[in-house]
Amino acid sequence: MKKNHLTEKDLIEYQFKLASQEQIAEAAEHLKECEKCRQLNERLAAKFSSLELLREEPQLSEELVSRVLESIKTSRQTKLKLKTFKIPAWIGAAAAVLLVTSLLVVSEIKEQRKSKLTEGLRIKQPQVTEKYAYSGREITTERASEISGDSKELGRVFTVGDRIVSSKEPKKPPFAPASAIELVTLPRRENVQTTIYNSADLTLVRERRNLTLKRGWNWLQFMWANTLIDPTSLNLEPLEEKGKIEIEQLVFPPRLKEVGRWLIHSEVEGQVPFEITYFTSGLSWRAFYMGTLTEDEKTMRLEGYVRVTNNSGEDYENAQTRLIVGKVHLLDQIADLARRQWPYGWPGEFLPLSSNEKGEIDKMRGFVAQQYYSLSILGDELSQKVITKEGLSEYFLYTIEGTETIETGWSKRLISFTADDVPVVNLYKYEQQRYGNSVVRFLSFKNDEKHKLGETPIPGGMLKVYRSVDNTGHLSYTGQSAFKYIPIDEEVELNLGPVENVVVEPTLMKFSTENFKFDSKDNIAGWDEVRTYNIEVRNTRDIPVKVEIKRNFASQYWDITKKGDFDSFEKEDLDTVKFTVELEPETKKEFEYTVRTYHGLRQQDWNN
Amino acid sequence: MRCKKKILTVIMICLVLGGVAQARIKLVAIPERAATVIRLDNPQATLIEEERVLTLQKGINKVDFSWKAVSIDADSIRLAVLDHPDKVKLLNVSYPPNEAALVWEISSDSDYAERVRISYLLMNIDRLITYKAIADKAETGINLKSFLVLRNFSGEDFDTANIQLDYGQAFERGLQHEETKQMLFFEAARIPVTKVWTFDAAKLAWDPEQLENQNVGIPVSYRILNDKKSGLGEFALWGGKARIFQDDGHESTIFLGEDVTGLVPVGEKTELYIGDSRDIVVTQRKMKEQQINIKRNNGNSIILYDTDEEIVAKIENFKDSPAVLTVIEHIPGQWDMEKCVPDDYVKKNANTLEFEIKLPARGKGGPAVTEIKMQYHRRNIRPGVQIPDVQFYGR
Repeated sequence: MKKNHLTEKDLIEYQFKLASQEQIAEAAEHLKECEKCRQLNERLAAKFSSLELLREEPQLSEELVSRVLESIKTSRQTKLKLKTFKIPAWIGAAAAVLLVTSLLVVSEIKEQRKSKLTEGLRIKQPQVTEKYAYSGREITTERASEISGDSKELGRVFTVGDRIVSSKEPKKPPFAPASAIELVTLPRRENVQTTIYNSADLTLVRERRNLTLKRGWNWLQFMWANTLIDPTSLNLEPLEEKGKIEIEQLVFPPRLKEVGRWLIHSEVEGQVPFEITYFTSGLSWRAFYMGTLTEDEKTMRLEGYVRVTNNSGEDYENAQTRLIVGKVHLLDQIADLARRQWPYGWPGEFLPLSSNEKGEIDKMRGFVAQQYYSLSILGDELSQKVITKEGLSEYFLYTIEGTETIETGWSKRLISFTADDVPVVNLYKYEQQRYGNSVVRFLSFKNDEKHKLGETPIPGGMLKVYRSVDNTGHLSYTGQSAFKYIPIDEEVELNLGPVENVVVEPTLMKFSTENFKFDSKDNIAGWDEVRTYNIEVRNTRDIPVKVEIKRNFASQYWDITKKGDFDSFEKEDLDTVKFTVELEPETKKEFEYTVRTYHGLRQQDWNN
Repeated sequence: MRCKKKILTVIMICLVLGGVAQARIKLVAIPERAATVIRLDNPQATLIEEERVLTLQKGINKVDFSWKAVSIDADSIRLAVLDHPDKVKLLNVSYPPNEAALVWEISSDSDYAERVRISYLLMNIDRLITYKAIADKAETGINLKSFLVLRNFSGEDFDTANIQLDYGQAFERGLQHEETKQMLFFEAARIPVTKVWTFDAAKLAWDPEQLENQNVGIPVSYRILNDKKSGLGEFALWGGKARIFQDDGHESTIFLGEDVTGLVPVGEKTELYIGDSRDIVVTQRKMKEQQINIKRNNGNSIILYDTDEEIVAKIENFKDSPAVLTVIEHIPGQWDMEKCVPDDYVKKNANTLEFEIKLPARGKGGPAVTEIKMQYHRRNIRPGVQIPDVQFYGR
């Protein structure tokens, strides 16, 4: 039996098995025989069992802190020993957690304990801290949702309270104190801005949060589980006190997924507004249009819409929403970067996508696309918010008035512009090489002031065209056309598909070969081909139309003569000509051309 | 909890007695690792230099260097004796069969606690450079930040190491296995940039009208000079991914685009392609192509001819600001320019012409329209004979 009574330290080590096997056995033997020590042990046990109920941080005496620090050091040595003897590592970690926590509940009080406690925390062995990092993450998440009351808010930011007093500020930054996870606070999002691109699956998110900094080193943890955030885009900037706050590094810790920790050195203490920016995938927008032609089809009411869809996994509440029109150059897909196992990949590795994974992603994209369409009815119908538009670099920025809340999985439709009485030309085109024997209908207008437009470029999208059929507002569906981006002042031609009510009929009226040339062996070495075509153009509609007829020749050596009823003629390029004919309702026009093409040796005689 | 570490490089020393040198007797001492340097100056490979103190005894010593769960290029391993280089000699190096290990045979004239430096190339640990630039609203200057990203997937934990790049002071950092660290490398404010639009006739569609609902985007780049005038020029800029943003005038930014730059030596320029402009439209058409000066053989087949060709490029600027468009044209083979408007092109090589076209801003009457018209003869064309270095393209 041990002669002396067991100290509190001995009993703590005994209870949490921090001592060696021999010491534990010795203490157990002593307890069997010593009533006084047994009582002390029971009192300690009772204190530890009440730990869970305590929320307030008690204050500690210097003496106790020193003792505990000593205990930590001792426990560290013990843990090393445990490891050496191959005792499961979690026992050491759990013991350390309990031991550290025990420091917080012992009753003696003094003001200056914080820095010392932090020092105690900082000297933990890395292998123990790793365990904390795992468990800490769970604790943190749980705590975060408690604080925010919003379990869906992802991209969480935590300040990991690093209570280092400036007088003892270490030159070197402390190891990421995942073990201080119980000191975590969750700064609220002050505001959020999303800038969504339509040419790529890319959204720039900008959040402002007020962080409370301590003087010295601070760790800030950012977690984005189940979102599609590109970790390489994470950026943190103080909005005030810029010269006094330095973002030292961003660490993506080993073995932890979707966690980044900023190490911040601050010369100021207190609340500082910060801005966090990052790219995310999964938010998208597209433009689409509705056109309603008047009965005479001379003008059209054009309505532009944007539809914003959120499949990012994150709810963006009350976010200022901005949309970018433009073709941005990206090296990698943001979704691929978000799915990487390690933020910057592996040395020598490019994008880690096997063909199978690609297949999966393609499937997901298909699913997303399907959702996209099926959700169209869910959007707010015609919310009358103003969208301001401005040009920046090669892009146009649409800023939606106020803020929007778009929950993940939902889309929202917003009206972009309305233009009444846009004058339109009913243009019909005939070009055998491109459209076969059909006449194709185009609706043509210009993106300029004369056409009640021209304020901004028009983003590419799908236009559905209707026509008013009577005075009571009934409509007839005319067709639809996808169109490209239209700069200001450019003419638009919307392809509404083939029609049968405007007809172009080219008829070969005469064919001949002439001007043969022969070589030295009397073989044919050159000749001309002469074709005469009659072109009949009929407008069976009750409105005036304009028809463009293009003719391609199979040779660049040709001459043409033409006569008849056409409005203009133009050489388009070296083997294409264009006739333009304008027709009143229910009329027809005819014209004729003769083309002579030069072949073989005769090409030398061609002079044009 | 993870094992303390993967099994790391281990050095073991044994004293060889009585000339019996064939046995590999292991585990005499495990020298502690002292100063470690991670040299990242070569982007292809990372050199680790570590100092250890070997306890040598007089006579022949064997030092066993072995590693597990890390990938070391065995041929790269070197040993340098630091304290008594003239008295402690490396005699030979041998590789035991089927082991990731090597054995140094070292002679020592006395008992020493000898400092040695071991260096080797370690795989799967490297660095990246990334750039973040914020352009001003007028797109005349950028604030540039460069970040260093350290990636360690080597299997080895470096609790603390001096990290040395190819310039600047070494700095101390810990770097754990599977850890990635990003830190600010340098920043420079108000670096002048030139915005460049480029239409290359060999790469882009000639006639947008022929495309169904597609814009032909004109690539836009920022040109940055790595020189003193630009506030740079102190060292070569490493290659890496650059993300470019623009101040939008509302205390916020938009993302313009990203590109990867190669190494930019001092005095050189880099061009970062950020995206496409759809407000500048180029419609290029061939208006004429005629064979002239035809020579035939006795069989009346053409054996040699010239051409008479005309190309017209119409350039429309729908932007409300002026721009300078670089138009690159290609004429294959031997050629003579007959007439060219404008005629101040630069001949970049035998077959490439570069025009700098100043485009005024869009006016009240619509887009600013400019035209390039080239009339030229291609010479001495032999049917069936390909020009090896230039392919014919376009219409």
